[in-house]
Amino acid sequence: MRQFPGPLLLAALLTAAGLLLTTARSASSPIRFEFQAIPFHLENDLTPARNAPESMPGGVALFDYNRDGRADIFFTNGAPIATLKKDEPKYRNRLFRNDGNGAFTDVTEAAGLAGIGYDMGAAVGDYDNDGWPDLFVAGVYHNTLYHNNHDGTFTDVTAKAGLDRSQDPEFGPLWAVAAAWVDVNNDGLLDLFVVNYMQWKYDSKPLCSFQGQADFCHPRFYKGLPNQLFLNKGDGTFEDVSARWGIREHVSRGMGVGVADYDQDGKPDLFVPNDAFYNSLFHNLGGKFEETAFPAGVALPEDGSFVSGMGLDFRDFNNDGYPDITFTALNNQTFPLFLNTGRKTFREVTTESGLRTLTLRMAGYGVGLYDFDNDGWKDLFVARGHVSSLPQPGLEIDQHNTVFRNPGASGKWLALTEEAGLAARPPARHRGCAFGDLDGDGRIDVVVTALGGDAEIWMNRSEHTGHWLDIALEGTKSNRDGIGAQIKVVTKAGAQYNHMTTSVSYASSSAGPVHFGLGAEGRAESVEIRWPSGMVETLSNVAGDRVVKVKEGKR
Amino acid sequence: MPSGHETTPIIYLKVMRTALLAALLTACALGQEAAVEQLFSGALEAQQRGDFALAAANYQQIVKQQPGFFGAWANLGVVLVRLGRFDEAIAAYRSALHLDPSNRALQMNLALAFYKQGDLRQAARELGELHQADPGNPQVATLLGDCWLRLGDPQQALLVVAPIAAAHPDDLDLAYVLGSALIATGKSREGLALVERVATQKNNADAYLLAGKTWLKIGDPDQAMPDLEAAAKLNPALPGIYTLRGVAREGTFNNDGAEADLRKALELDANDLEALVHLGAILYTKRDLASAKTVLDRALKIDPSSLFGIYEMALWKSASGQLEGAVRDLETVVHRDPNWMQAHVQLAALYYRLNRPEDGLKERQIVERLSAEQQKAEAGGARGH
Repeated sequence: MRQFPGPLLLAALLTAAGLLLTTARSASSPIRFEFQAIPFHLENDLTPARNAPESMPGGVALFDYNRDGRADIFFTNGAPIATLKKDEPKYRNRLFRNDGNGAFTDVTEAAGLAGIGYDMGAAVGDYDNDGWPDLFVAGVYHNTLYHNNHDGTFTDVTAKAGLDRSQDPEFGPLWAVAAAWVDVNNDGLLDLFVVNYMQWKYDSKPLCSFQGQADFCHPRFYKGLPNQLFLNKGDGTFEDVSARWGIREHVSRGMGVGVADYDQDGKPDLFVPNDAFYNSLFHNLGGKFEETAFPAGVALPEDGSFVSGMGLDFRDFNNDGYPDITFTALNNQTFPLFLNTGRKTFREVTTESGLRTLTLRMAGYGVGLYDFDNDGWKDLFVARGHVSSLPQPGLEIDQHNTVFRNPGASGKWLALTEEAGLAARPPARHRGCAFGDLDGDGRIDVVVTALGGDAEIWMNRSEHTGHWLDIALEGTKSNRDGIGAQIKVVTKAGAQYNHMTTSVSYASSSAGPVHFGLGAEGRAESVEIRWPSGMVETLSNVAGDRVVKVKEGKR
Repeated sequence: MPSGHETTPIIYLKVMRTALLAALLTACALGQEAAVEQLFSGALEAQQRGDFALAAANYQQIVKQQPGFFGAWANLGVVLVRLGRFDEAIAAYRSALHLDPSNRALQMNLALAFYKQGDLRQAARELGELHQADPGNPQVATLLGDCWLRLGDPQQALLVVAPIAAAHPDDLDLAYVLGSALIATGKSREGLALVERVATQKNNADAYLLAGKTWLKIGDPDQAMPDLEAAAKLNPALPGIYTLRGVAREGTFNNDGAEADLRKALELDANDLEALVHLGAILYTKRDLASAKTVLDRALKIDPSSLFGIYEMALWKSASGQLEGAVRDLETVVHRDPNWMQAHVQLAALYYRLNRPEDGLKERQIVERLSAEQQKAEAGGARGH
């Protein structure tokens, strides 16, 4: 006869089982990050008056500025709010060279990237197709274009490039928060789209308070600004074509820009989340954009209310070949997720994906859709934190970052915070974040900024990750970075899609190559690349767990 | 009002002295009426020890014997007020005033009798005469202002109290009436400063409640929260406190706290329309659509014309795929309240979803106009994300 344990023994067994389960659950979290410090403190010059720019920095860019094969890190930084001029070393923007083995060296001075103004966003792109990544820095009343000199240094070419006009005759001084490099006319030259936020002036600003203490005003107190589009003329200069291309007429409060060809017509489109206003979806007609957010169904989330749209990613998360959209917002607004129907419209799936319930109490800025566990499905990382500077009942101002695991073909998304190791640091008001493989291990790492706090490097230490494949593009007829190129990878498990862009997240710029998780498959049956030039190239039987370099038209 | 403005004891003593003098004079002059004097003394004693019924009986006996006895009429009015027999008290005061028409103290007592009876129009008439005679009297102005407020004429209240407020900076009752009048006439922030001062200095739940309610009305739940918390702490039985705090909590992203408050409010009053609609909104936000529908149905059954109820039901219909129905509801909302920007925003989105871009564009243009107007109107103050 079978013997059952007595009550005491049973209790002991249950306890042991519980412990085992707890340990197993923690260890088996599909995505795990490990914190690594980096000596950068984001100085926003928080003043008692709570000027709007003080809540907005800062961006981060991952890019291999010295072409040594390792992604380096650039941070934007603030300045005294009254002068908007960096007058102390603590306000310098910072460039950290990735020396490998987790070591980063501050090379800001040598590189000439300290900056001069109150800076916000960063956008990386090789605008002159010389093979070396250049850097655009967006800021309050002042943008900067840095040309890469190929020797570890940069030159400020803003004026030479014709990008130094930050005073608009109609709207006054412009405050840019983000930018994207994108070849809007597919002429092989990267153009520049600058996201402008709102009309703020130090001397004539609204003052808002909470329980007698000043705090940041709602954006509705400020008038918006138009975004700008600069066409690359190929001679190191740019032409402002905002009006001609249908951008200038749309005045709003832009917070970021994502680049993707959502209708697969071969021309890159732009999505701009706006703060407390309709989002903008600029459909590229070739020579002009039409704003089509309402007909496409992405002007507003499903509640039909204005939300504080922040950072975004414009990328296919369900592997159907059509770029989808997600963006961050504040508490009670969710992080909406829009599914591209393939018919030039989007359908919001925040509720049915489970993200509504998971994100309703969260606020976020930076965001990115990357396959962190290399299972073939892109997950969602959010740099979380609120706008407000004062604690309020029921509202978390400082928040932990969270990664949401994509369930794949079916099921609900899963929020991983403590489980993913992201509670290893105190909560903060996180802002920008950028993505890339900092240690070359095939797992996407994240660098996050925190308002008035230390930056955080989150090294991806996920165990049991799948195989991976990174595609490093080099355009010849297309722009050299291959920005806008669409890649389809087919394994035995199915097809998945991604495209080349550095414009991801909030005020930030992420590093190539284009990353794919292959899951259990060690190789891809095919890799199809659709270049912005229109050329289509296909690679067959590509081994995984490596970076494959593809030069346009050379295979 | 935060306090009762009890003028009775002062007037009572004055009246008593007058009555006694009158009684003695009468007795001396006539050399008689010892019995009346005895009755009067007995009435005063009874009045002093709180036996108002006996005092009233004695005074009534006196005025029956001597209808010209001013003091007895006056005191009879006082004790009848204490007995809650306002009609008889008012009649007694009127008889006394007939004998001494210029007696302001007695007219104040008459006004108070009307005020306590709830006949605010009559009270205002008496107080108006007193105010005309003595415009700088803070007590009269406070009571008269309060009457106008309760009669729904805050502009009149403002005219009465505003001119003398500066002369009486420490009179918290006057400040409260002035603050209330300012709030009611649209000068919310000026009024809030006064009402919050009264709330803090008098630790008064009603004042905290009014302040919290006003912050909510001007769209600042963050500021409303501490006032409503203080009101609830001082007097948890304050009518409407759970509803208001629930609404404030909802506005400060504390949906769980808001839901608890609103459910509590509905326990106390199942027909609390505001609590029902806000609870429906919270349940909708949580996408508990079935429960939201139940609650909103109940709200619209109580008041089918509730604009907020119709609006929330439109959101529910939109989330439930009933787009045409949602549009109809929102069209009702914007027809009745053309400046409800959020309804226009939602309507614009729905028109596009229903392939009516021209209508959508019109709504967007309205939203842009309203946004511009809002920016113009808001010189700063409210906060929040």
